[in-house]
Amino acid sequence: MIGRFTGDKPGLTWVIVLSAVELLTILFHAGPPLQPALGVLFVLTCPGFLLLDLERPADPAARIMIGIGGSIAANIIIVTLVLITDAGPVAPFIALALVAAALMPRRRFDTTIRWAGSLRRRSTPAPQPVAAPGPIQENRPQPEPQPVPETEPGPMPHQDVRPDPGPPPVIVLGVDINRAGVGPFTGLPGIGPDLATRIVAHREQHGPFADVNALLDVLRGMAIEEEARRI
Amino acid sequence: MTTATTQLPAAGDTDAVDRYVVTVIRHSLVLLAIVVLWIWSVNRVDESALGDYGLIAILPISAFVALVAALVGFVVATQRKRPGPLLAAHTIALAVMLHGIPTFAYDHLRASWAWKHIGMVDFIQRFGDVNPGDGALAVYHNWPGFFGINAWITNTSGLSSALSYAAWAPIVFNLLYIGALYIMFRAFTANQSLIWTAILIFILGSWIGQDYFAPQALAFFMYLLLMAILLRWYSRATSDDAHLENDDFAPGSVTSRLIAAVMIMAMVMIASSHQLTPIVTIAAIAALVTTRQLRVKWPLWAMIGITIAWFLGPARGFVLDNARNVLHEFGGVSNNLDSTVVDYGLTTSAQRNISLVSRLLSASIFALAGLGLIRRRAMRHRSAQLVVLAAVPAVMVFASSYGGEIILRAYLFALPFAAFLAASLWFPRRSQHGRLISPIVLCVVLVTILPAFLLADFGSDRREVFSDTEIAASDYVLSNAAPGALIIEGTRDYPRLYRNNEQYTYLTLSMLPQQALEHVMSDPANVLHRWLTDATSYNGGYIIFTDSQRASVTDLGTSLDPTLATIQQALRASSDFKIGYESTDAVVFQPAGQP
Repeated sequence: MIGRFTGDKPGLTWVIVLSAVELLTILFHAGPPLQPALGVLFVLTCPGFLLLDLERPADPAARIMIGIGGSIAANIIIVTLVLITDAGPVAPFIALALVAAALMPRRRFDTTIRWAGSLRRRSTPAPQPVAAPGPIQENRPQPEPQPVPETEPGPMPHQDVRPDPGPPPVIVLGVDINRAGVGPFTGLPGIGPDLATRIVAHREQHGPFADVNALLDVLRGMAIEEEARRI
Repeated sequence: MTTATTQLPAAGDTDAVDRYVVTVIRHSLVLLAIVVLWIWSVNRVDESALGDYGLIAILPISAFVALVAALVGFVVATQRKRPGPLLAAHTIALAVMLHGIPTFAYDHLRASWAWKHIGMVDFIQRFGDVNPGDGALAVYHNWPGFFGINAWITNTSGLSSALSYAAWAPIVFNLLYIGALYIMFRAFTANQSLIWTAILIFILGSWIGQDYFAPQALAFFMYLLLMAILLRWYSRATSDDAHLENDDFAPGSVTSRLIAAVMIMAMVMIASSHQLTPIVTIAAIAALVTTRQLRVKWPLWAMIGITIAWFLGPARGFVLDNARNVLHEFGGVSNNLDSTVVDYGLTTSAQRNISLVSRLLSASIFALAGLGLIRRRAMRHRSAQLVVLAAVPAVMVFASSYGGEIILRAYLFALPFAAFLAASLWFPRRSQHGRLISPIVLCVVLVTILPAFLLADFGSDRREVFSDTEIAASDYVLSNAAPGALIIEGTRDYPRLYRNNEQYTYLTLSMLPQQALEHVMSDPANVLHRWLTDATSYNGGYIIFTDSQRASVTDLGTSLDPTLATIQQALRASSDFKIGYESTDAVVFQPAGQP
């Protein structure tokens, strides 16, 4: 049943469900074999579940440490919660809330998270788009966070979700590098079809370029990767 | 522009790969031999021979050979192509070899504080609950996260006590630190030599011994992880190498939500597990936000909110009770610093030397960091975040003396960033110029730091390492004392409070006000007997003295030296007392009429 709702957050869902069940077993002083078995399951599998959702960063060390750190923190929070609530009436409700969050359809889950994010964004002025190459900037402006495209049927998103204004235009030698396909990129000096394909793939995967320096950074990064492969 | 760099690998690359594999195998075999030599060496340590200078004086010469060889191997590995795996292996091995010495060399858990933490775990194991109003261990009951998880691990694994595994804590924590530091330093550079050298300098500079079985050790890991996430995925700045994973963070994606969720969980864990770490964390995030190093501000408000919620929620009683002391110390920089200084007029020359070496070690790392900062500026590499995070722990000195440890804790929180700046003195290499001299200088620096670390971290082991019979003496007391008993001790440097701690009242002679101590000394046997047999207050009692207590009064220069010996003589001569337990390095007295 859970699989119906996990969508693109299967790892997080399982961690939340396990946390809730663990909370309940500790709360009700479940003895062996239930609590030890669940404990071992929790410790062994939580990092793995968390990693399920971490498509990026590609750095395996970062994925492992985030998984381990998240698992340790989740465990300590659960145990602390049980200790400070004195096994009182609060913990079951928290466990139920966790289960509800885990079973929540992805669309609603996304809407809730986005609504929380919109509270913050209202007070944050949007960065100014950069239209032309300029001196290297110390603080790279970040693109406005874009809503994740909805793929599943469901109720209308929360009214605070704004329509997608599209990425800011960044023009380089007449090519808008935030909208151009592979073809226009091949018109730029030094960029062949292969590299143009990779640039477009990178943009689709990571979002629009803030300015021309961002594109140059990516090109330099690709060069470093190639260099590394050749060693 | 980039066509040249996107070509397929050249035909001769197979040879390069073969050479690389041979290099890795060769380094690995040498490292394996070094680790075997080290294990053989530390197993020959005779802890009963610990003297004024602690571990370093009894460590076999072969252990030094192993450590120096590992350091040299590390420096050699920095000169290889694709050195990451080799450097990682050397750094992990060195972390275990340096911080794991107590685990392998000593028979029992080191440091009386660790034993006290075992007692807190024992309390939760027995009651499944905390008692925030507890007098002796109130601070632990109000920040119980670490102890709760260990009680859970102990129960779940079927062990009777956390003593079974607590000695492994330094190794586990240092490995966690390495992981967190690695992903944090990747926010600044992709240069593996720079990253691993910085981590190694952290490992060698981390001499203040906060990696034992303690909540602050785990909270420090969470602090590092939190900073790593902030610097890696929420930073405004680009890294030295332009293209790193901090570019890969897509706002609104599941990955970003998951990372944010882990960050918030780390914040909750920090706020609920240790009272000082959340303050430093807030200061660090605030410094990053106010200097516009982060793209977002919500982590600051989240950390402040979570901390306030904990301080005014579950820990409210403790916070209100201690608010006066905290406010009294707030802003008293001079007093807070003075409280960390050992009484040089009373301590031994060995302890003065160890203290001096510790300070020189700390100062040297910050001096190297200063030089590294100059080099980074010359290379136009960004350093603002590193400087901010290395400097901000200094604000702790304004806040509290923290039991005389504040300057040490501030040093620990600053160390990771100072270590990275220090490593920047050598990496990245700007050219082939100095290719021979630079690694030699690095090697000399690391090998010079090594004995300083061993002296600074393990120089007080005479009072922190306990023999079988000292533990047996303590066991005798805890096994025989009736609930409500009074336990009198010379100092707190012995295995104490590790079982049934809520049942007894502890009185430490070294902590008595001078006037009260003079009162005891006027007639030790009579005064102590009267205290122990005061049936209206206590249910009998014991007096315990150990060699580790004697070492601590000598080392720390308290006013109890030679008072402790005088008291023991008076008790032996008195008919009011009998000896309940005695060995070569411990003695337990109890009232003659007490069964």
